[in-house]
Amino acid sequence: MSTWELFTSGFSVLMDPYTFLMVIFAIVVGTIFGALPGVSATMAVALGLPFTYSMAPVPAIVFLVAVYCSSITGGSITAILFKIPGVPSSAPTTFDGYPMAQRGEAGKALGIALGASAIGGLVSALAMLTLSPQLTQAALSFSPSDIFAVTFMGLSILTCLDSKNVLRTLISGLLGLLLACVGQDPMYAVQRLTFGSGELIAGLEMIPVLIGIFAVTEVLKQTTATKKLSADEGNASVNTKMPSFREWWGIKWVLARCSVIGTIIGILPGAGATIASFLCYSTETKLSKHPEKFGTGIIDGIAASETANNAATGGAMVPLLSLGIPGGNAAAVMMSALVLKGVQLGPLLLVNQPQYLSATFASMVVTNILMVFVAIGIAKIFAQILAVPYSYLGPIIIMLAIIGSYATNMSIADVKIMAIAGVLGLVISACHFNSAALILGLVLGVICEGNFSRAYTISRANLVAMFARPVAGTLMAVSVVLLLWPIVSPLFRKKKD
Amino acid sequence: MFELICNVLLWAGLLYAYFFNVLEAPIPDRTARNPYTLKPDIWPKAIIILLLVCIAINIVNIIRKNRGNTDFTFASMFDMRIRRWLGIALVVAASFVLEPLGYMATCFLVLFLYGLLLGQTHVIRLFVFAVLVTLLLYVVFSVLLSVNLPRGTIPELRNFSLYVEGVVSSVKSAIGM
Amino acid sequence: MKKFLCALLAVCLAVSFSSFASAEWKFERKVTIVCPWGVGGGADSTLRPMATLLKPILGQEVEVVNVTGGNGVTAVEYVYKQPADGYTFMLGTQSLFMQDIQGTTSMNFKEEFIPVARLVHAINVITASKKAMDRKGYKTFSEMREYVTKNPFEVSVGMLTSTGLDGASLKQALEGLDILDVSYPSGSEMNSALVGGHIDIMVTGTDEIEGLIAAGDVVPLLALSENRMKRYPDVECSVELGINSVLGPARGIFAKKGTPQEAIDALVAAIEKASHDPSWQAFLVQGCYDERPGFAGPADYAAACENDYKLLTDYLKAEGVMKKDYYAK
Repeated sequence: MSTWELFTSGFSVLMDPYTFLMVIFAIVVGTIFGALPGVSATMAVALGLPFTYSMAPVPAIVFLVAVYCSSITGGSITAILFKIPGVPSSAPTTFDGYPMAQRGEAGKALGIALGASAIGGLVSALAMLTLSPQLTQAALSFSPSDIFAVTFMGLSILTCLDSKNVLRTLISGLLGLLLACVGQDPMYAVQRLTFGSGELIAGLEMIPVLIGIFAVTEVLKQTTATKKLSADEGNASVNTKMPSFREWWGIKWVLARCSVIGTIIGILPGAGATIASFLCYSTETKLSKHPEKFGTGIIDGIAASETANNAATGGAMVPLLSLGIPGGNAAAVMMSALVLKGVQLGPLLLVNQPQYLSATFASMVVTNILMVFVAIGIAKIFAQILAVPYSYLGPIIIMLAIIGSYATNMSIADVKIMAIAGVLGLVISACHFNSAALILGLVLGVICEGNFSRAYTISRANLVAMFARPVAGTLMAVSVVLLLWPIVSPLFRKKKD
Repeated sequence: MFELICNVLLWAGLLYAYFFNVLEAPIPDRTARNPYTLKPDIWPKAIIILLLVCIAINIVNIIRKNRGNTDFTFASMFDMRIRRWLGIALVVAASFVLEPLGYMATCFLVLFLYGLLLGQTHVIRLFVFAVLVTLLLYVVFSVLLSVNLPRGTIPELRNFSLYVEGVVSSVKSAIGM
Repeated sequence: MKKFLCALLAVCLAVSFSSFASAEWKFERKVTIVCPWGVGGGADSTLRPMATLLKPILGQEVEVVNVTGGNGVTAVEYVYKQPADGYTFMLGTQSLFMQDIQGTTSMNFKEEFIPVARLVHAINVITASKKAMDRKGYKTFSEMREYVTKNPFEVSVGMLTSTGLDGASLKQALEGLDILDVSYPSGSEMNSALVGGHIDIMVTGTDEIEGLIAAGDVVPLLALSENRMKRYPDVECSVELGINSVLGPARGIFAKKGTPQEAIDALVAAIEKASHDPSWQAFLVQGCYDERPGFAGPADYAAACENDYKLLTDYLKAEGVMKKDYYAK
């Protein structure tokens, strides 16, 4: 089948009025689920499962893909407005989105987030349609040492997150990596660093730590007697001014780079949208002409993380459709839906039934365009909450944080971890540590250690052989330069002086 | 001063963890015998060593920067306002009472008490707000998203939650959901 | 012998009660079944179709709740905290036994939980990467074994956590051979590493890789079972080669001790009824669960669990990680 035939056959599936209506429905519920803290994209897709029981396999996957893409986007709404990422992959969006909302530029921040999401989603959908076989081969050729090198590069960019404070940023990142080691180790299930607490055996999940350090710390900071709290008047009204074309043009390279990186990370099993958005955020910090502005509320930061996490959705579908191996948890749920319908997934699926690929593509295109409008409407409703006086809003945020950290795993331990992380957030800011770096370390820690350990065994404890591969070797060389640069560069400058 | 104390405590804590808590269970025999596996203590130990070095440098930096600084006293440590201490206590307490009290009571108490803490003076309005938001969040998460919110372990509160669930499910079946 | 008699007695009681037990016990609100593993995984996709079938039989909502983390321990602790009122059950596999024996659960799982009914009993299969096979030149299990004997620590084997069931299964099948074990956190990562040729062989169930086998990217070498598998009649099985390794993941429902016997009986009756449903039978074929008898009632399942507990205790003792010895003399 030619690309054009694929294109038309895909859209013909969506021409069916019932399927089209279900896609609209999927976008609305997907965005709302995504925006609610504690409901991850995977949970959103799982909640969508019952609706597919009566559908044929192709419309079912079309529906679930629509839920998936829109929930990833919906997460940015609460990330920007309340500093609580609705889905984990929107965590880096809070770094710049929340400061913008605080300045009264919530409209612009949301506009960038939604537009960037759509662009990332569309680029990766197109890549999925046209390059699936090549992308699949690329994904398969990634060995554990290559995946380790990718994440290690993400970590080495750490030092650039705050160029004035390299040492403290580095300490924060390392602390994050260490926190990722808590609980049973990923390889042999040996307990580590639990200090005898049974509640830490499952390890520290990223979500409770993140909600604690971001949302709860923020409320605690606002809880002071000296600052006269406006108990009755609301926050400054939410400015719904949208970003201008010039602003969009200014971030064109951010959008392009993050779409590509996001798609590639999405393909790798075990990585996914969250890793993609963190890696892109830190990469853009490094490449930016004004890295010091990242974290203070600039559109580049929002665009980076939101483009990347939506680009990862297309990437995640590639191995699912072409190999029958889900690229992430949400894709695993879709896989179970297809298996229940008796579809045999595997390399032969696309050879025999290419409409799975084309229909998924069509669904992603339609979802990514329509979701912008739907999400703007939903964001406006959520933004109303911001106008509520802080003495009401603060407690709501605390409660959302509690429910959000509990709902992921029905775990009281996670709520306690969240509360402690909230207090820790205060200490971190008092010590001028960097909470973003800490979260980055925590997110990348498990995948980094696991893949290093696997690569180490496979290469029979030979570090040279481990990195004597084109991808791993290049990335490791770049990482070492990145890591050493902030330390070496002042020396050069001094010599010149 | 606060920063210095935190860093020193962190340094000491990490040193303790290095010796006593990196491995808390034995390594499987087969893994221990295989010469090509990365033992599970190597990675965390490497990170702790790097951290010990970095934090030590940081401590030296802090001391150097604050030499002769008159503000560098113990008093600055208690800069935190009493309200913030109460806020911390409330959040931590909420995470511990969630299990015995269950969602309903915890949510109401947090909303009400934290509202007071943030300077809300209309007690009746706050009371109504707390009740309404508790119900709203319950409907959104428990009814619509079927998240199993904690019912509580105290018998009265648990029975109350079960009663509410019963009401919800009969309403659900009445409207044919 | 004593245990066997107890089990026998339990069967008799169960049989004599089952006729009117369901009439005696009526579920009055939704029943929750906790799944210790994530949505979309093997355990979850076994439980969800069963829950759907149970709903009309019990006349109540049957809800699957995923409580993940700590290799199942988080879920065990969660269920242990719930009252034993017959409205909370959990899905369990041998992985929970292994966590129990290793002492990671705060209570003695073996004593505090009772097996209710087994849903499925799958067969573990050793599969090889086509790419790696071509490179290393073995074609059958025996040739592979010979290759490993000649080249110690040359063949890498993927599995999900080496102290899990796969590790035990593998240890039995490749007794005395020097291999490189490589643990993966998820089936999807392991499968793609195998197809990509980064690892040489792996131990898993066949449900998730049927498509890859059909396409020839993954080659089954040995079924760890008593008989050859219906769908791969050319693949040797362990027992015919004289290898004593038939461990395979069994997924079943467990109840906290103290749960009303009537509730358990009613659930067992409902599960038995549901397992005769044509859609469940179709699911068994689809998921490759039709190779071994799936459903087992309380007594049979308890006996099977007892057997696995003994086997896994021996395994973990040999690995030096056993903390609780239920069979200490």
